[in-house]
Amino acid sequence: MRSLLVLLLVAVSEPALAQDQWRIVRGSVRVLCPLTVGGSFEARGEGLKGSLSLKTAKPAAFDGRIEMPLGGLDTGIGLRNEHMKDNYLEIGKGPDFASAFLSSITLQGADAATVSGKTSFSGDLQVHGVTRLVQGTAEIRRQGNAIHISARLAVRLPEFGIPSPRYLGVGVRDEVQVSVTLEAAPLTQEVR
Amino acid sequence: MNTGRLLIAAFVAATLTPLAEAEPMFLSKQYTRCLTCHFSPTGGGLLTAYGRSLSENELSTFKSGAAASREHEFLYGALGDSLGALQLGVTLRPARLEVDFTGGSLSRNFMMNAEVTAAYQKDRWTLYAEIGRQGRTAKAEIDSFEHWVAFQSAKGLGIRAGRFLPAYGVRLADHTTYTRRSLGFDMHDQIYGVELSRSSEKALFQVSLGPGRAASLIDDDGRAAFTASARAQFDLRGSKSLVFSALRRAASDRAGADTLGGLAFGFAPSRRWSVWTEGNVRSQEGGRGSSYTLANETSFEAHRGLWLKFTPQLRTNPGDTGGGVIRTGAAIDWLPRTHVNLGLLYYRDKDRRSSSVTKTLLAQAHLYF
Repeated sequence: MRSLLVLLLVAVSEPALAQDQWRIVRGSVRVLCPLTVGGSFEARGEGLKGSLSLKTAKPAAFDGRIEMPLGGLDTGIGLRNEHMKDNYLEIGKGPDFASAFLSSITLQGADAATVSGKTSFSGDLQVHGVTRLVQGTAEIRRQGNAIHISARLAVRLPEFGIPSPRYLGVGVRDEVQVSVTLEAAPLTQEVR
Repeated sequence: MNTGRLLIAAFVAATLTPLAEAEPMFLSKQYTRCLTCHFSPTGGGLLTAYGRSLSENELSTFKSGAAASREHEFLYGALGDSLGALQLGVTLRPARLEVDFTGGSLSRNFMMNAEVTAAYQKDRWTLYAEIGRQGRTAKAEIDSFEHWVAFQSAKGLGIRAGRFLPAYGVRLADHTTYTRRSLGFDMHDQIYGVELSRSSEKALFQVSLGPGRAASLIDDDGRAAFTASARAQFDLRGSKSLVFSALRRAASDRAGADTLGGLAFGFAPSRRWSVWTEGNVRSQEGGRGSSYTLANETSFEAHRGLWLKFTPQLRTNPGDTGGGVIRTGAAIDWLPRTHVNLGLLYYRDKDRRSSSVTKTLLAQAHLYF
């Protein structure tokens, strides 16, 4: 009887990210690209996918990966899209180039059982076939059984072997700002 | 035609509209700064190589099918790379104007202007000069209304000296817009001065100082007055821009001091749609109070290169917010192929006190090579 009560209490108070497995239900990415002449433009894309499983609760760390297909990125200008995908991201080179992947995600100093609000994170980001450790900030909130995450990180293009984008005197600066918004649902919940 | 009609006709003819001079509507394409496509940080004039390429590949309805087309370049690329860092441009604006006003009408074919512009860029320095035939007045003359030298550091600090239009508000393509011409930012209202700027990813600050309007200084017409301006533009996420502006003209021999303050906001709900709105308040020494100008320009790209514009505007008289003029304007701008822009513009200006109405129809080709 006592065990049943404990189980019930755990189930009722189950906080964010304490589930073992999560699947990305939907998500989008915005990459803010500052221009060398001042100003900036955004590359926007949707179709974030992947699944994560809780590896350790404290700090909250996850196995699995989040994938962002890069073919759908849109800057609003066809020529700019073409240059971005063909000349710099080189998405035609194969699966390692066609998508960006974030894996080995750790919410630094956060407990999976209680984490909510703003936190910092680290993970292995693979872009352009190159993997680097990155760090950023995330805001986590729960809505029903789902988790909403808004994350931001800076990406330095040369570190990923991406040449400095330049076209007729106008270029993108080496560091771009990536914003990720995603919604994840517990895998068990979906199965039910 | 009596003298009054002649005066009205002359006034209208002197306030014609050049199309595709600078295009804030490209906010919808995520272009918030003039410098991406123009050499001048205040927009308009000669296109950069990037701006020319954009005109061929992205902004025009039709484009060359060639993989490495040089069609957009000076003289269609006939000179190859022989010009090096020198960029040249030739601009022609043939136009047809029809105006109906209370008690008369006017129609006229004319060449609005024909000019050559050159820019030379090296090691972050830019030398810029334009010269040509300006056909605004009955006595067309050869002149240079814009010439300056500028330096832009890698960190976004800039300095410019020479003859240029001071940075203020949003430079809509139509120079007769109430937020331009009524405030002293017409085609030929450049000042001699120095401009300092700071450009970053999210903001652009421009401050200019100078002895006054260049034409007044040259003609010594008694209207030259020390002029100082400041403009701050903040680019917000999601294709939005907020612009604060201020300008002060000191008293001249023939006019009192003049102070302007303005706020503009632009946003792009989609990649085919942009909306700019600018409001200004003006206070003139010796005047009867403040006057106001308000202009909205809503642009929609119905088909690639074909823009439909709607522009309601208002300007009031000093101390009389119940008076002034309301403008209802609409335009079609078609960019069929690089080097060619075609425009058809209609304005209806109604004086709120006298109820007199002036209707203006302008058809214009903007050819640049």
